[in-house]
Amino acid sequence: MTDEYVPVIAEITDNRMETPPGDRSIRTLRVQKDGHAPFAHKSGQCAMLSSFGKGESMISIACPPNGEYLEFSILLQGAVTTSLQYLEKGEKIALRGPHGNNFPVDEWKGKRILVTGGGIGIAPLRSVYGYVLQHREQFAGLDIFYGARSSADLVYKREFDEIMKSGKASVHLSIDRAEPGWNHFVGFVAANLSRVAPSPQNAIAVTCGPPIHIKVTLEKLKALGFADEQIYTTLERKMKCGFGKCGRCNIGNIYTCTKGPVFSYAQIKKMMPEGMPDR
Amino acid sequence: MSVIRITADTMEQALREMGDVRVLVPSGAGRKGTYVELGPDKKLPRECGDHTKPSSPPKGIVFPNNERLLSYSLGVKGEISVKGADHSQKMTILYGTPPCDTASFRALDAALLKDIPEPGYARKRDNFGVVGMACGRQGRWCLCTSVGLSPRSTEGADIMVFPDGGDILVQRLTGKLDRLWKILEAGAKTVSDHELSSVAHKYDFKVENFAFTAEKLAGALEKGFESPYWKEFSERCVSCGICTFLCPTCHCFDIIDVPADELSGRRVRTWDTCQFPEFTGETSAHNPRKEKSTRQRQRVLHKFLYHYQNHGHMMCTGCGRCIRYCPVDINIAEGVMKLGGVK
Amino acid sequence: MRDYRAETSALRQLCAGLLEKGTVDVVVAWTEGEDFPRVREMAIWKDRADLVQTITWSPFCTTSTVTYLKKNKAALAGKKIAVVVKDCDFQALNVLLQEYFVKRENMVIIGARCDGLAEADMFPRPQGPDTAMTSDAEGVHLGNESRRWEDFGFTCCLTCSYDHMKPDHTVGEYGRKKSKTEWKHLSRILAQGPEERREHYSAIFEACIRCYACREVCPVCACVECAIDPGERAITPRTPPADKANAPSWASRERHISENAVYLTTRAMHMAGRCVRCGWCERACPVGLPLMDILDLTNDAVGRIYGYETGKDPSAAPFLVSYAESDPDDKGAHQ
Repeated sequence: MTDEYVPVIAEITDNRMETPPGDRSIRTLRVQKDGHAPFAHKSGQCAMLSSFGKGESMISIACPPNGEYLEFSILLQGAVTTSLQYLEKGEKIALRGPHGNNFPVDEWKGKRILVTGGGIGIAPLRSVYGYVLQHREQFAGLDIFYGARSSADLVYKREFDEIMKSGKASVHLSIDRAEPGWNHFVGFVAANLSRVAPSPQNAIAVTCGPPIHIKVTLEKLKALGFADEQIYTTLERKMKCGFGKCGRCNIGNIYTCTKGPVFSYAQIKKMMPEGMPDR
Repeated sequence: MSVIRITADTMEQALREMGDVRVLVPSGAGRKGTYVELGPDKKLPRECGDHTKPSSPPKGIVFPNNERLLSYSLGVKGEISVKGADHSQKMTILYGTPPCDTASFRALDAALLKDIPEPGYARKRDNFGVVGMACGRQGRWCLCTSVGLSPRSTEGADIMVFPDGGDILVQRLTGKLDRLWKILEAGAKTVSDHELSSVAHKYDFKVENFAFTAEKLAGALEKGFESPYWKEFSERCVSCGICTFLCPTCHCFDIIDVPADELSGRRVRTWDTCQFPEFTGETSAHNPRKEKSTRQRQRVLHKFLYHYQNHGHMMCTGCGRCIRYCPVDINIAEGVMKLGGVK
Repeated sequence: MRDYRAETSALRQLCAGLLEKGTVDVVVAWTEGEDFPRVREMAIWKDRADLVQTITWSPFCTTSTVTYLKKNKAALAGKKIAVVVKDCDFQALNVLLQEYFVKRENMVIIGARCDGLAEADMFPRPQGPDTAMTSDAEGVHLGNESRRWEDFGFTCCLTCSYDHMKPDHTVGEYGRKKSKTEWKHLSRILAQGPEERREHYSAIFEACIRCYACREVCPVCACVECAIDPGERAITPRTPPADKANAPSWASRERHISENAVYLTTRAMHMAGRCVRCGWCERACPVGLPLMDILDLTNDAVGRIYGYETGKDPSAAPFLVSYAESDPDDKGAHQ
């Protein structure tokens, strides 16, 4: 019997800076075990990353399944994330997973996928739009809305440049406050979404970000005519065990570490009210 | 045959003869009570009731407050070596708990073994059996009959005993303790259904401290999620967690790294409580249960609604400890009844 | 013979008047619970002045209204408060006043003169809500049932010497002479040799489940962030990651004899000059730890070696931040 608590040991094969060092530092770690992903996963799932001596942190897997590697974009928060950001290429990392449920991307083939990410919320969404880009011809379209506090806080900047150039998706970037040299939208992601007003026709909307972002985005999507079943998001809670036993991540009778964090808005409405974003 | 009549002394003798098995019995009532090993200094209890209940529930026997999960060792160049813990425990029999404590294992099994079993509990539970005893005396705060149990309920028991004078009727319920059963069975008198019924009837007394049926109120509790009553209910709460630490079915836990030095240490599992403010507090400082009314609501609904929705039985076993030992007299039964519109 | 029904009646009248006249916005007092004679604290606001008729005062008021003040600081901030306190609670209030945790202005202190506390659960129940509650020098009487003060085993009540509180109003007269009696539980321990003492305290540390109830119920354990609890850090969304990452962990939450020992002894040290010997921690402890065996080591040292009287003078400097020339140096302190 495998012991759920014992992590697998893998290697850091890349640690790249996404945003400048400082209190809002984000770095992306690439993790491999003997040249492969340490375990298979589906878009939307997470892993518990260990920093021995400090603890564990549940981090979304920020890439679609590819067999080769896992990637995690880590926002500096406290003890665990600080020490994870310091890991160098060649050093080892201990992790457990995959945890949770996944975005049902296979069911979405043939549809237009609309992704809206606020801040670090773009990380789990990368596993969704990454999958869509891998199988682009099987989807009707891909729109990515992404914003952060400032241009320095935007992640995956070079990737977005490439995606925009490839024409495989329309990318709508935004920052909260105007900056010299910034030629895209200024304002919240949800406001940009309202402005562009994508059609809900044959579309699925996926949104992630801080609770307030999710709340406002949900309102805007409903205003645009998206049905509850067409809207997906992630509900995060503090997690420790990751397999539905320690009792802390529940919303009503549902443990978000096993039956979540991915939920459709239709599901959220049926859950206990404490599941509503930004409660 | 699944029910026999033996003397209490015969049972004691059989348990003492089991050699490599640890037999634990409740010893002492209230705050100084605990579970001790049957031995030269400790006799087998001949009766049980609220008056013999330790303040501590028996969950700690298979779900200790401190369980090692793994040991780790780091190299100076970033190498990691991890050793998972064994989790195993000597074969243990718990003898003489009343139904509220015996049934706690039904709830704990449902919560901790379903889908992905919790390794520490699962390993110990394999090697653990319960001889439950019918309860002879209710206490001021008991509510077993409100939660689908009774002073003679056999839920959670592998073997059930019904004291009858100097004798006990012994009922085999599962095969877990068949090693013990075979010893007891040899040469014992079989008991008819009628005799069992008549002896067990002594334990059919009414437990009516709080007149409600939990299952009937589940719907009202669900609808009452946003009720302003939660604030009133929790106003004097000091978030000490006593209600959850002493609850036989509460099992929320924390995972903590304990460094021995910069390069090695252990990761342990300890009890935690949904009542502590930081239970759901994230490192970002976002806390969905910052208000203590939301935390008390979580406790009550977990016990009387969520677990019931997931597993079909009430998580509360009606032992009354949370009511009795709450330092500020918060009463979960009162809360459930008020929200459920009873009384 | 003290008649708590009569004292309760007088108290209710007093509180009703304070609310009616607008002298206070809220009364914090003990009220009758659903399980007489158990009590519950409540904050009675002007709009529910009818609840004044549920206020009660008796030896069964085993909780601390000062703990209620500490726990509900935000809701009571800036309001005019009347608080009913017994002698030890009054001392605790003085400690909080010394530390500017509460403000004296906007506070009306009603002192209920206390002869000691009783354990409700030692009396048969249920009891009718109009059952007589009385006490005398020997013990407490609830209807026809009597128990002696010693029967309850409340360490602090049996060795209480508080009889000098100076509140704004008083309720009741002392019916029992309280004087400084020997803390026998402590002398017994101090008379033991080091090995026996080690065994005694190790058993306490081992049994502790670190529920932190002792800290939560304590009227003076009011720190927003408990120094020895790594699980309780006052963070906001603005707290820099480095502060969160580098926060010290003096005693991890692992329930282990060594961490438990650090918690229990450090709390006792932090209570120097603050612990008013109300005894609620010991009464509340779910596993029956004799916590006064630890706290009274500090209380004894504070009184005997430094001659400091905890909670006596609300305008005095707190013990741990004051220094007197007469304080013994290290050589003299280890008695």
